[in-house]
Amino acid sequence: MALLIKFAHIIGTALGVGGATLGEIFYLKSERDGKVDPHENEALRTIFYMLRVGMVILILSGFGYLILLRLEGHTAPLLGARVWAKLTIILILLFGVVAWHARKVPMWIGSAVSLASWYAALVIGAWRGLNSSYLTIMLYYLGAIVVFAIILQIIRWSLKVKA
Amino acid sequence: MNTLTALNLVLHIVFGLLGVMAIYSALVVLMKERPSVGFLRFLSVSGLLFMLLAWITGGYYYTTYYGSAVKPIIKAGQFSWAHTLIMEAKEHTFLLLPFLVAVLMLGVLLVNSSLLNDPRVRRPLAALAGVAFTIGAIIALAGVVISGAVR
Repeated sequence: MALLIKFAHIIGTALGVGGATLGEIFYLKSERDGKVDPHENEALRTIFYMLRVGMVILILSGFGYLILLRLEGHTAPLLGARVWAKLTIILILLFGVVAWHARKVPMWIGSAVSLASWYAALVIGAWRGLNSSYLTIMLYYLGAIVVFAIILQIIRWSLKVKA
Repeated sequence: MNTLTALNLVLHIVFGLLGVMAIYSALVVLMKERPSVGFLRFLSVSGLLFMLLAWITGGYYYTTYYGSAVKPIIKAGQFSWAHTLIMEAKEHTFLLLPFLVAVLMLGVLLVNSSLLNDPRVRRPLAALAGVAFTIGAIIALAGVVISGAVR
């Protein structure tokens, strides 16, 4: 069962990280000519579907890990910084989607939060020996959002210059 | 913990998660300008169903195992607040959640399909789904804290 949960968690993260990255690439490509053609629209819909599937698998398998820890009596990690940082980031991602749908956040912030959150979930999950405090992890995460926002803005500017 | 109790705990968590996910999906669908009414109805009905199943399995776990086997361990440990504050809040807030979700489901089922495209109908339903999702997410996180305090 532990192996199944591990595979599911890896697949969920891969779909999410891959989906967020591909989605951003397709979105930037469509921004270059200023319109989303039917082919690009279809590709974006498929990618966002992939993202949603990844998120569902990630959450279910993530809680699967937590259930295993509880049933096996290894409960200390449940109050650990890694678990709570990851839970917080997933919640930020989920509320970010709602805020984006409500048009309360501009696209450039939404993209940066989405990419930083998915990559942060990947890094925190893969970094087994990570021994930082919750605050430190969250500060690095906020820094990652800023870095992604700057990189995406530079890409947008360069695409507009080329176009 | 015997197999039946363990299974009961697993089902409680899985049903709760599926319920929260269904409500979240309903919230996202309700924020679209033209929501898919059939999908919205499916989500609201399954959201209530999963919440009720989580309610029943959670109640069974609490009365048959938690009170006698888990609560004393938590209260005697260094995280006694996980029971006195978090669990007490969780069990009472959880009583409210299925009713909120039932109101959402009735709103989605009873309102005419074309009215669901009207922002004056859709926005209050989305707000209700948002409140239900936020409470559901907090309850799920409270469960992680309580499980982490068993030592």
